[in-house]
Amino acid sequence: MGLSDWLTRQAARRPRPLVVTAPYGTRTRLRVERELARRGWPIADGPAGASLLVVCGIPGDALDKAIRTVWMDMSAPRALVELPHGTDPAQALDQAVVRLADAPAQRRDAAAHLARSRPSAPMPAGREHDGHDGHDEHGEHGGSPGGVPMAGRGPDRDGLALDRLHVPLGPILADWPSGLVVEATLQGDVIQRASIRLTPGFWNGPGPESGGGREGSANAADGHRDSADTAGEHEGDARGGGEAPFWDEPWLLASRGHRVTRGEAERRRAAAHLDSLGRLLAVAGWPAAAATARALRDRALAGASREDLMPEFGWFARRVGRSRLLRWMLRDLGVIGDEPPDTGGVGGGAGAPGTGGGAWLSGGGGVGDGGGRPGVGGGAGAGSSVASGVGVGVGVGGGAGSPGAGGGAGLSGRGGVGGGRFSGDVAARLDRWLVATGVALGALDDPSILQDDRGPRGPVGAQPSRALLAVLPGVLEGVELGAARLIVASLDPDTEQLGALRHV
Amino acid sequence: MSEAVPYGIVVAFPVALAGFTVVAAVFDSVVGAGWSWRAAGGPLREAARLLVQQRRRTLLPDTLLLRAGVCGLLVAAVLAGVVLPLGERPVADPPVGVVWFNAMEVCVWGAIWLTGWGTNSCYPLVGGYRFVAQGLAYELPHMFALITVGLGAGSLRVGEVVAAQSGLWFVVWMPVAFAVYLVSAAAMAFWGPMDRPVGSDIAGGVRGELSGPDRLVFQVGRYALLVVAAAAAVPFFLGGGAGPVLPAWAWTAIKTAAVLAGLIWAAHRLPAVRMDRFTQVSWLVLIPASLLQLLVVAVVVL
Amino acid sequence: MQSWAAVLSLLCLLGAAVAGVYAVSLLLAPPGPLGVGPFLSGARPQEHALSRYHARWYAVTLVFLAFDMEMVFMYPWALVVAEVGVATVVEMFLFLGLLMAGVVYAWREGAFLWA
Repeated sequence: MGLSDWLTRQAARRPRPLVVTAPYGTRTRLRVERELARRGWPIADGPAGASLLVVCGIPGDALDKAIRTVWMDMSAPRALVELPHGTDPAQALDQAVVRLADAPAQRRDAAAHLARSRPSAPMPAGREHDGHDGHDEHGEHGGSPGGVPMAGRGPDRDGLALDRLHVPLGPILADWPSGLVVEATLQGDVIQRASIRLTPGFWNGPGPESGGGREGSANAADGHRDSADTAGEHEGDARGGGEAPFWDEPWLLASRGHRVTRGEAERRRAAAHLDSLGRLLAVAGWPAAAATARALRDRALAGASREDLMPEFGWFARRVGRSRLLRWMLRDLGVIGDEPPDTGGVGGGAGAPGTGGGAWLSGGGGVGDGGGRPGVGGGAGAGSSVASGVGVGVGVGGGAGSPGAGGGAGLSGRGGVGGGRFSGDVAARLDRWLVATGVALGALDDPSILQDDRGPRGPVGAQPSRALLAVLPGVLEGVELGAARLIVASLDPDTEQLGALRHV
Repeated sequence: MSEAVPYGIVVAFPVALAGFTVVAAVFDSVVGAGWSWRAAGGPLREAARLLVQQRRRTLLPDTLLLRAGVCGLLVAAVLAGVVLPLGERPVADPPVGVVWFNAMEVCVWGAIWLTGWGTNSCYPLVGGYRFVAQGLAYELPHMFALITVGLGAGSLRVGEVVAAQSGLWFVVWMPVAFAVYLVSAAAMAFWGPMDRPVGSDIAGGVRGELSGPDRLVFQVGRYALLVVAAAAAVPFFLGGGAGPVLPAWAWTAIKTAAVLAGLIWAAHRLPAVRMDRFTQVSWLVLIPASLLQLLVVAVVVL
Repeated sequence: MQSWAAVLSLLCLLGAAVAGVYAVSLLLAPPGPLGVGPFLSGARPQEHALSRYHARWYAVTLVFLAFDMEMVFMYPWALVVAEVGVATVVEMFLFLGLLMAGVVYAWREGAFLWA
């Protein structure tokens, strides 16, 4: 087996990882992504092409089951890397490489795996929520080849009767919000119906799943906490990297009386938007731009200075913002209407003195001229898209030291997707992220104390992600699969946020 | 197909195709890693991994169709490539070489759809149908571009197409056809911005469930197809082996490498194109544009 | 060597290479195949994926077929344009014009949009 061993060792030096993020695993995920980028290991699309399964954080029961399913579907050479909070990814990945290169051990694993998988051959029709492992159901379906029924028919949007497939999107899917599951009913590649749930551990139980209904989805976020959730044992302060919504952390700390500077918060905001941008661009099939966004994100989180980040971000924002091809592909997708303009914060540049760092983006019109003015409240045209204003925010720096901290002035759109923040199509949301990132990067050096709670996705206390999840089923119905991925990426709900109230 | 072929050509063809395929994979890996030459070994390590990977089989696959699809890509690439001159002459130079090339690369439709269908898995199926839709968008402009070439040369024999460019390369007076050809070449190899049939948004699409030797053959087939699509631009538009000082085979290699590099670079430079948007533009812009190009060429050759 | 023989031998070579890849895998990889599920983000399938697919671009396929048939005429046409002269060009482009009228009609009916 000399040749086989040699090939295994050669292959082990460039594994293909599949990354799964558990509740509150964002911090670990970011470290892993940075490490993978540094090593140049290309991410796998699914278990067939993967040799490494990387689990960031501590999965609850449901996610753990999904992880085990995917792990069962991976064939040797393979290695599982579990990264509970606080482990060093570099070391764990090094160890994984050693395991991948150990050809005899891989052969033993393969033989054992084969022996386990043989008896019931492939799997049966698993109703996913019933908690059964499923293997024992094999053979119960008389007319179902392999124990799985053929697709049934259902009415189509055009009045045809067509085969329907039930396909869950998530929780294990590349560039997908952690823990989110969209239960999609597909006809062809069109999502006929969609309902959402979160895998337990993300602060909801198996809540009411009234398929597709907005109210059902909104409730899904309200469910109780899963008792089996391991997260409870990891109660810890937000700084410790345990159980805390990573992107909202500075605002949560500030609300609890910790001393957090605006610069720190803006750094986190910029990184959050860059993370979202990276996801959206990856889903849009532009991995090079996504890699740039993620590299900028990592540098921002590592503490790079404004002068350091600005030139490259400017270049990135121009390239992405001016890509007509991207705009053509993203526009008119996932249009969310303007909710009644809530002028309290949106248009009230003058009325709301010192709205702070300027990330309260409605139309973006007012963002660019934030330089030098205390507070960036502009944005007179609520909800208008930023069609040509991309990159305007780049280089904003004068306003960074604005002392204005309105103390929550203009908390419009609380609990809703309104206020223009998420209105418009996917392209509009992309533009808003670009502008907001530029503004946030401009304020990195702001030493003033953070007093508001306007996090990357909106008022932290209001949990804007909850509203995003509520909107989701409605905008996904009747949409093609690829477009649905883009829509989800453009909203990028932060599932960790839903538990935030517990910590405040 | 009855003329005698020197043995050298028959040996050189597989060597050149394999060489360019490896180079394309390596270059793609390097560009994909942000011009990092450390990534150059990536494709070979991946090949090693796939060779020692335990085989896996999805629930009730149609193995025959799956294998036919996986191997079909390579077969299509080789058969399409035999009419392309390596320097002075190709492996086969039939009087309908252009049509032959066109016919062989259409086999890709079948190969990809069969691969997507055969695994009995949702995402590959979606990917397979995505490619069918892509074919409906790119194939007609592609054929018009090829017909424009045939019309300009007054022949469908690839050797004569090259000879007809001894004065002026076709790219100079049929730029639209050339541009359309490049777009459709990328689409045919489901490459670059046209890669949604294997897109990451549907978990790898057609190749999503492929592993081990299946995945290896499929990936090699895809790169080979890209190489052939790029190489075909040379006799069709870029004067074949014509060029100063260097011999014809060298010029053919240089031009092929240039087109290939352009396609690979563009793939990393542009976001992906979805067919539900592109089809309309293809029919309303690309087809009329290539028809106008055809008219111009027709008037010139009259 | 005759051309057909050359092409045939290349195909044989390709067949041997592909068979070689599978043979190497059979020899070197751990025994298999492993029975796995289709990838569904960590879930198991509720039904087989093979189904009557909703090909929403059905209308495009019909327009495509109309054009594709016509391409068969265009290849020989390209060879005789210079010989026969203006008449060929006029006739062909009249025909293409008719087809394009069909395309425009299909476009106005929304056949090329299916999202």
